[in-house]
Amino acid sequence: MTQDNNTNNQNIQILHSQLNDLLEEAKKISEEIDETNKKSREEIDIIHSKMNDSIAQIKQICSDLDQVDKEAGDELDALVLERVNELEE
Amino acid sequence: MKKENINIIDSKDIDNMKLDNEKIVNSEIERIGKKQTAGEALTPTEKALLFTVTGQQESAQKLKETNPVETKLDTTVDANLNNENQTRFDVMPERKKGLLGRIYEGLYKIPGVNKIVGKLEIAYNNIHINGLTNKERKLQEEIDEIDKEIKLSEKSREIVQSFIIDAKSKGAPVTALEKDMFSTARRIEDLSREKADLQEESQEQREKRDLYINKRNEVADKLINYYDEKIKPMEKELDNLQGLKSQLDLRFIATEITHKKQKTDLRDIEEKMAHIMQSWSEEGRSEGAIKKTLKDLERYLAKGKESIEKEKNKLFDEQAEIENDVAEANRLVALYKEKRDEFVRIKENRPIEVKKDIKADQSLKGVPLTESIFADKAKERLSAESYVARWNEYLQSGNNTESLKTTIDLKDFLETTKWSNNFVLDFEDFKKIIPAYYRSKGTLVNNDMLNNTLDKFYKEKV
Repeated sequence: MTQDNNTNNQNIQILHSQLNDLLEEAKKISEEIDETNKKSREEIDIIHSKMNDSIAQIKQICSDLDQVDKEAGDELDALVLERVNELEE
Repeated sequence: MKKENINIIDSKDIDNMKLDNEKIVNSEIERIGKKQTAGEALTPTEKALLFTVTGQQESAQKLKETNPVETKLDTTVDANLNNENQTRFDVMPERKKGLLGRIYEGLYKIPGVNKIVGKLEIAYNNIHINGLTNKERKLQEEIDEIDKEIKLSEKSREIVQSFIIDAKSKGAPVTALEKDMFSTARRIEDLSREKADLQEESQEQREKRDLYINKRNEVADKLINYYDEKIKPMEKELDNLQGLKSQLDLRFIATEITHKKQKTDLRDIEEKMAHIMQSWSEEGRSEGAIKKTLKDLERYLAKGKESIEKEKNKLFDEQAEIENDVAEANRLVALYKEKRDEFVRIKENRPIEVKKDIKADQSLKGVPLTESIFADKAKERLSAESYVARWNEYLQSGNNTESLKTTIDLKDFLETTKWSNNFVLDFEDFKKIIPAYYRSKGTLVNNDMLNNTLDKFYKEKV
C-alpha cells in the first residue's frame, strides 16, 4: 500500500515536473515571440521612416514641378493671348 | 448657374468672327476625323479642335433652342487665367475672346487632358497661331499682285517709250504719249511705295511671329531643362525606395517564417500538455494540484499565439500600405517622366507615341504574407546554417547549370534575418526567403532563373 502510494507520488512528481518544464518552455517561446516582434518592429519602423522620407522627397519634387508647370502655363497663356491679339488686328 | 452651363458662345459672335482659316480648319477636321476613324490616338490639340468645333455647333444650336435672348461668352478661359492674363483677356474684343475660347476650350473641358502639355501643344501646333499666318499669306499675295502690276506698267511704259521715239522720228506730236508715260511712271512709283509698305508690314508680322516662336521655345526649353534636372533625383529616390522596400519585404518574410516556427513550437507544447493531462486523468487524479501550473501554461500559450496573430495582422496592413505608397511614388515618377517626354515630343513635332500604362510596376510588389505558393514542396526541415552551406556548395558545383553563382554570406544572412545558426526552417520557407534576401542586397537575379536553380537545388541537395 505504502509502495503504491510512493509510486503514485513519484508519478505525480514526474507529471508536475514535466508540466513545469513545459511552462518554462512556453515562457521562453513567449519571450522569443515578444523579442522577435520587438526587433522586427524596430527595424520596420526605421526602414519605414526612411521610406517616408524618400516619398516625401519625391512629392516635394512633384510639387516643385507643378509650380514650374503653373509658371510655364501662365507664360504660355500670355504668349497665346498676345499672339491672338496680333493675329486679329 | 453651373460653370459648364455658363460656357456658351454667342452664335452671333461666331457668325461674325472672321474665320480666315476656315478652309484649313475644315481640312484639319477632316484629317482628324480620318485619324479617329482609323483608331489612332489624337493629340490634345486635335481633341481640343474636334471638341471645340463640334461642341460649339451643338452649344450654339442648343442656345438657339433653349434661350435665344441670353448670350454669354466663354468664361472657361478667363476662369483659368492668372490675374495678369485675365486683365489682358478682359480688354480683348469679344471676337478675340471667342477665338481664344475656340483654341482653349477643349483644354479645360476634356477630362484627362494634361493642362501644361495641352498648352504647350497649343503654343506649338495650333493652326491659328503657328507657322505662316493667313495675314502674312495675304500680305504676300498682295505684294505678288503689285509686282505683277508693276511689271505690266513697266512693259506698258517701254511700249509707250518706243512709240514716242518712233513718233518723234516721224515728226508726229508726242505730248499725249508723254503724258501717258508720265502717268504710268507715277503709277509705278505709287505701286512701289505700296509694295514697300506691305513688305514692311509683312516683315513686322514675321518678326512678331519669330519673337513668339523664340519665346515659346524658351518656355519649352525651360520646362524640359527643369524636368531633366528634377527627374534624376526623383529616380534616385525611387531606387532608394525600391531598395528599402526590398529590405522590408525580407523583414516581413523573415518574421513570417519565424512566427511560423514559433507557432509550431507552441503547438508542440500543447500536444505534450494534452498528453500529460491524459496520463493525469488516467491516474484518476483531479486537476486541483496542478491547476495553477496549467493555468499559467495556458496563459503563456494563448499570449504567444495572440502576439503572433496581432503582429501578423499589423504586418499585413503595413505591407499593404507600403505597397500602395511605393506604387503611388512609382506612378508619380512615371507621370512626370511622361510629361517631360511629351514636352520634347511637342517641341520636336514628333508624332504621339503609344504610352505605357502608368500602373504600379509589378516588379515592385513583394510576396503577400498570406501567399503560399510552395505548398507542394516537401517539408524537409534543416537549420538555416545547413541550408545556406548546402546552397553555396550547390551554386559552386558543376551540377549548377544556371548562371546564378552568387553565394550567400552566412553571417550576413543570419544578421539580416535575425535567425540563429540552428533556426530550423523547411524548404518552402527557404525558397521564400532567398529571393527576398537577394533583392534586399541589390543582387539582380532573374526570378525564373532563381526558381529553377532552387528547384534543382531541392532535388539534389535537400
